[in-house]
Amino acid sequence: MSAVTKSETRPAGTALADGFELSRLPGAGNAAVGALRTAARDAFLAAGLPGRRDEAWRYTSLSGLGRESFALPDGKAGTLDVAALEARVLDDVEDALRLAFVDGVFSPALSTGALDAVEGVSIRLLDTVLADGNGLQPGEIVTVEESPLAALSTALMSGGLGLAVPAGVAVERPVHVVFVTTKPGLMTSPRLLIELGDDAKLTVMESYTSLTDAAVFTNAVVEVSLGAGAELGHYKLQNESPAGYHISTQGVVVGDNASYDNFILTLGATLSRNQIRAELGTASLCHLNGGYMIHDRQLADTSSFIHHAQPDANSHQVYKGVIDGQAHGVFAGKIRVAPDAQRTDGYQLNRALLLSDTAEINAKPELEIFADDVKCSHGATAGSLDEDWLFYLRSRGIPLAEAQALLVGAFIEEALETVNHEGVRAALSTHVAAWRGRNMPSSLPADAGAEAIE
Amino acid sequence: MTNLIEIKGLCARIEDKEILKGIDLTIAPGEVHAIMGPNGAGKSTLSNVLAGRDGYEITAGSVTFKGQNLLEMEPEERAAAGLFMAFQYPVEIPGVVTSTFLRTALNAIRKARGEDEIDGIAFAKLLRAKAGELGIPTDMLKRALNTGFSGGEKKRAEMLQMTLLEPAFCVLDETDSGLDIDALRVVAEGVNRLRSAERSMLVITHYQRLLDYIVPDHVHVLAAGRIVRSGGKELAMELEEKGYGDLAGAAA
Ligand SMILES: Nc1ncnc2c1ncn2[C@@H]1O[C@H](COP(=O)(O)OP(=O)(O)OP(=O)(O)O)[C@@H](O)[C@H]1O
Ligand SMILES: [Mg+2]
Repeated sequence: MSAVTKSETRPAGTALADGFELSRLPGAGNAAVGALRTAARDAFLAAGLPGRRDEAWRYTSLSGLGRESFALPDGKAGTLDVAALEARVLDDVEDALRLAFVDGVFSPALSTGALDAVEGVSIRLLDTVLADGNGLQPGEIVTVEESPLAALSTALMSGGLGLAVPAGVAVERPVHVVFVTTKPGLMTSPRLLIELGDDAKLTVMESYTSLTDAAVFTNAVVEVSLGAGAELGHYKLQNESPAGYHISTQGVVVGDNASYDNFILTLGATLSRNQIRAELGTASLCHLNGGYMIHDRQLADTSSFIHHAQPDANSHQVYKGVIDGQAHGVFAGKIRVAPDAQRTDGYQLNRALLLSDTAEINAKPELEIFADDVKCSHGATAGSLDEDWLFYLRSRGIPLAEAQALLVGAFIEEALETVNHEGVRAALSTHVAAWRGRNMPSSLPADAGAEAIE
Repeated sequence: MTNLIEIKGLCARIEDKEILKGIDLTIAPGEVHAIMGPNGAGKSTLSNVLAGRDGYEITAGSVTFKGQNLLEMEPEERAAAGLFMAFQYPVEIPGVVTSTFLRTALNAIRKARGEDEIDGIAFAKLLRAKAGELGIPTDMLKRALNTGFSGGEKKRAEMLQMTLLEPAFCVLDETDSGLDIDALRVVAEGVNRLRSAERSMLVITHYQRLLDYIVPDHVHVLAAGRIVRSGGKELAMELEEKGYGDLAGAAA
């Protein structure tokens, strides 16, 4: 707890930013970075953590987070239980270059190659990006005004990468960025900056986990800029420890004719939120998909905003969640179609599978359409496991618990099918199976999701 | 010889509606019984009650299967004990790959019987062989269970499950409906291959044609929740000619 006595007069949660010296954070030599950090901290201190009166945070209370106090990374990685880490995130995408950060610090030992190991993509540590000011810089896409949490992250950012692919270069080998927190009470503010030139191509996967039972806070910001005709496959696994908080603010600019394929699998954290904003260029394609599997008192919040600013773009969103125990899923998806964005095709679906009477889902789709020639639809469903399906499986000898696990797996696997990259899909699928193994004990064969016939 | 299944005075209702009004039926090992009867008579209700579907209230009677009280068993226990019901309307289950489902079911039943699980390679071989016998393309096995299968494909898939699980007692609820003439023969041949001195069957159908292939030992007429007439295989021919007319009336 902060020692500030007049805490009632300060906006909620601002103590989170207390006591940190911005000048000791990376990029201090670059005046622009210093100014950005200061502006970001001021924005956070002025606004505080969003409260539930803020419509965008109505179902997601940050009061628990606001009561915590966290330490910043001190530049030293804690000791790592590699076996525990492997179980939580390291089902590597086949062939991928893995680049790992432990407690905010780049870990060559846990990485599978050097920063320059993948031909065609320039990968630089955040420190370098901030020091020389080259390439896409923090704040260009996710501004200080985007949200107080993003502002807090910008003020304190350290750890992360800038990835850039020049125009016309297609990079086949995926890059897997892993962020691990080992120290209790740590707040990390990782940043990814992804910049693809015209017609460039890249696949990036992010994984987040924490290996401590104490509260930790990952407050990430991801900024993506895609040139005309570029293609980015961008995937994420969030498997933080049960006491962890995970907030990610993501801004994406999709160039004309470019394509953005996003999938987020949420399994961990007591409270998590993925906030994504995408600006679509002419005739671009944007897939924002995801799956979440939560239980106990977990809360998983997805908030997306797709801005069809130009004509002929296509956006497609499917989020599927499995909610057990007293867990709570929150989904808010807004599609805005600007007056010029004729022939927009927008689709949004949220489906929740409730495994207990106390599981909860709030889904709020929102369409703001200012053009007249558009095709937009949205839907939301919530229900329990289909009784007829369960009976069918049981009538074939499959015990109830296994039948439930099989149907839950099928529900999420269907969402995973939207992932364009096969290796990523396989890696995420392993985590879905592991979740079932942990939380729906049954004797299903480990490879029950795999093909049994060639 | 002890009977495989004994149904005595079985009455069942759904919500407030009395559907089965005292069914008596005893089937010895190796016997094939056919049940015919008008729409809505309660044939599928009887199958569902035997398989253990929720939603039915058993108001009277008993069912003894292999000496056990069937009505107290969970659906999966019934399956493990050797009961198999081929559904009149198999459900589509998106996302569950057919071959995965089949292997899970087979292993669950083997496990319940105290047998070893079958490994992936042995299973794939077995599955290919059995699917081949029923003219089921392997492509279908990679698809989600029954999802988008044609009516006839669903029925064939039911027969594939039955063939793999090798139950002691098979209930076939209108397996012939939806099958084309060639498929009917293929499926009937599959069923006949399963006939043995130990395995019994209850074949529900509206058509004499199926019974030309799967020749029953006994034929029963179920009307308005009761078995109103029983006879040999010639009864099916008589029904085909005359319809249920007076029989259905007799039950009311
Ligand atoms: N859930 C239900 N609620 C109310 N009535 C039901 C329900 N399910 C079945 N019934 C009724 O029970 C009766 C028997 O149905 P059942 O499906 O057993 O008939 P069937 O003999 O199999 O007919 P068919 O030859 O058409 O398949 C019918 O009148 C049907 O409408
Ligand atoms: Mg019927």
